[in-house]
Amino acid sequence: MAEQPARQVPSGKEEDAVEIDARALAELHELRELLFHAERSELIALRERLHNPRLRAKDVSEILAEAIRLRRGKGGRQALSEALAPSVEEALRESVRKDPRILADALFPSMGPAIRRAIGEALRSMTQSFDLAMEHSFSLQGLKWRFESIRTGRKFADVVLLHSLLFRVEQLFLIHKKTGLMLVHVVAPFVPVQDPDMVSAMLTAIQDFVRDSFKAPAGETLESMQVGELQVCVEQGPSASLAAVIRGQAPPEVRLRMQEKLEEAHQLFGQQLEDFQGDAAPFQELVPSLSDCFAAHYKERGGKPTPFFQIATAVLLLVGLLWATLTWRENRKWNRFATELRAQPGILITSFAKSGGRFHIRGLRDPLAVNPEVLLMKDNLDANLADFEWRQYQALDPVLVLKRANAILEPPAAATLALQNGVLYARGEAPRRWQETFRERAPFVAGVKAADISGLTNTDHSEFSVLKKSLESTTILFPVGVAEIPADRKVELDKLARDIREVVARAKALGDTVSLELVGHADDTGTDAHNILLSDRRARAMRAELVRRGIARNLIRTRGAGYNEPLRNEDSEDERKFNRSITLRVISAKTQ
Amino acid sequence: MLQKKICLLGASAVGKTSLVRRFVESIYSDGYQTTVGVKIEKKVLNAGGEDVMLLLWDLYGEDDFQKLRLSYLRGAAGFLVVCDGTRKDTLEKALAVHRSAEQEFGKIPAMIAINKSDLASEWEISQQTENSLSQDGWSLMRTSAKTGAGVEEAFQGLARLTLAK
Ligand SMILES: Nc1nc2c(ncn2[C@@H]2O[C@H](COP(=O)(O)OP(=O)(O)O)[C@@H](O)[C@H]2O)c(=O)[nH]1
Ligand SMILES: [Mg+2]
Repeated sequence: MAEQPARQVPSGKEEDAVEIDARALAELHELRELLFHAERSELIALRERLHNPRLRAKDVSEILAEAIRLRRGKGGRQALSEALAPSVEEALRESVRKDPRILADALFPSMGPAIRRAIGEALRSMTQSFDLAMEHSFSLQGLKWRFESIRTGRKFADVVLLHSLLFRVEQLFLIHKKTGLMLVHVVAPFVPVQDPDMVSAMLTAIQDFVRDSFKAPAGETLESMQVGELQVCVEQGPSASLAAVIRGQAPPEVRLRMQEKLEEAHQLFGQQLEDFQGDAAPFQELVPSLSDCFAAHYKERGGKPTPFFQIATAVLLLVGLLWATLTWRENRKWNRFATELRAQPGILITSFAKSGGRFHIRGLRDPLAVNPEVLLMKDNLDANLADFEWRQYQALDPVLVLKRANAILEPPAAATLALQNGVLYARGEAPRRWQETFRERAPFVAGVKAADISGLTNTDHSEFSVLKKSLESTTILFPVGVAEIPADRKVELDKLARDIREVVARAKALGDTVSLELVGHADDTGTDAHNILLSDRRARAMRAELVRRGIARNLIRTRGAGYNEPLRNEDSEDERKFNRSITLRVISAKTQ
Repeated sequence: MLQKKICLLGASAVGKTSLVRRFVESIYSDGYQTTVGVKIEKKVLNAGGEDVMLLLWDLYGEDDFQKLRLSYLRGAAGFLVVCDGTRKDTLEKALAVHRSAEQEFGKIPAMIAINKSDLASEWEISQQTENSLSQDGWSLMRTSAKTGAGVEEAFQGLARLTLAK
């Protein structure tokens, strides 16, 4: 409405007010135009900027980096990280999923050295103990140590290490000098320990004893004791002493190291050491620093190749050995294959040679012999490495002769062929026609001298009986009192006629002749005379149908049995209907 | 856990070593004592609800104080002053040793153990002597390393004294 102030509104009481409103609005609009024209276009531009995502994105992009920097500066680091972390994680995951190489390449410069160092470290310590164990495995010394290993239950490698050890700091005691109480005790891995509290006290007592006994001036104390392979070194500080139990002979650097540690302890705990009342808990802080002293140092074996060189040689040797083994095994496999091939009937190998990494096999092959490529596959050999060159021939190996006979003569499923001394025997069942083929052709199969079918029985006969049985189980049912064949039975009769012709033909093939007897039946209702008549009519009707289907009339006898030869006992209507029927008998001339 | 060094003082043959042996199950042979002049044992006990590890320094008894290795007493948190109840003179000797220690190291919690309490018939230390020692501020305990009577209590009492300090 406000956009069309000029429109005339029809006059009337209410319309007047509307008109005034409209005019006022129009004036207001005009006023606004006059006052804010310049700002208005600016406003529109601003709104456009606010509502256009493309422009907004552009704006944000200009200040994004600075905004993040500001936020980090203002102590919002944590919040910023928390906000970004999920997206960054997801982005990384996505990047790795898409192409792991990009991230791997980016990380490589920093990962590489770290990994190399870790591997180097692991390898060094491994080869060290490995070298030692190897070096001493077979010497007389080694034998002695092996015996020691059995005696002490320690691992052989450990025993070797123990003896090859130059020195190893095994235990450290930080002892409060005045009381002889133990402040800190640290033990290297796998070092058995006695009660450290008492050791500390005894060490102090011994120090006192020595000092008193030899009237040593203050400040001069026992610095080291030797007990078998163990050495106890004691460094004295103002309030505490540091005792180290060292296996082997420690070089002066160890003492320097101990002094440093002792100084550190005094620096950190000077006051606590002076005021010590028996609570050692605060001094446990020194454990990590003290543990630094646990370094084992082994005898250098001068003039020996470096571990790297040894490893490289070992690797090369291993690779060479592996290659030789593999080649040898491959060759052996091929040779075995050749032997296997030679043993195959129908295959004669005239040459088998390897050249340029390929195998050339030449010879004679019966087409019915086993396929050499199948044999290759069975032996897990690469068929692409084999070049076969076969010339065909007919082999007289019994297996192949039999194969050939089977391929040529195609015996029916119920018959099998066997070969013995050149005579091909057919056994089982076969139709007469095939038997004739067999007798004629078998002697022409290469490798067969004679054919024998005495083991065959005639399939024809059994087929005849099957057909006969099937015919005789046929029943055609009739409605009550009806003698005509129901129309829906006609299809069935077509088949019946076909079967009858077939059975006649088969009988003839067997040197027999057959005739049919159609027996009509009736149910129990009605008089006997009626039933005989009805059943006779049923049989005749049937004969007429069969004759119509080309069966010679003189082949078919009919008979009405009435209710005298019922198919079922008539206990129900369901059973009764079976007696309103025709049955069929095939009568063989031979068996009669 | 708190650790405290405790020294046993007293003339020879009063039963210091026997008391320690009664108190702890030792893992070391007594041979140390004669060679180095001291034998150290360890025992954890609970005194006033707090676990304390006592390191017991049993000195090889020398009646002649001049020969006592004072340096062994350094840093002790408490003394168990042991005498033999059947030999009056051992109390004098023990107190004398304690005095020397005090001169050297200052006042340190201490407790008197009058040992061999099982030998009542040969007892030489009167109740009156005990009373006057108590009046001097001493804590006293009759012990028998033979029967075990008072042994635990003596060490326990001394441990409490060292903690109370
Ligand atoms: N009857 C008895 N004999 C004790 C007792 N304590 C120690 N003895 C004996 O006193 C002798 C000296 O004891 P020992 O512990 O060596 O005294 P130490 O020189 O003070 O260490 C040994 O023969 C102990 O068997 C005790 O309580 N009763
Ligand atoms: Mg003794």
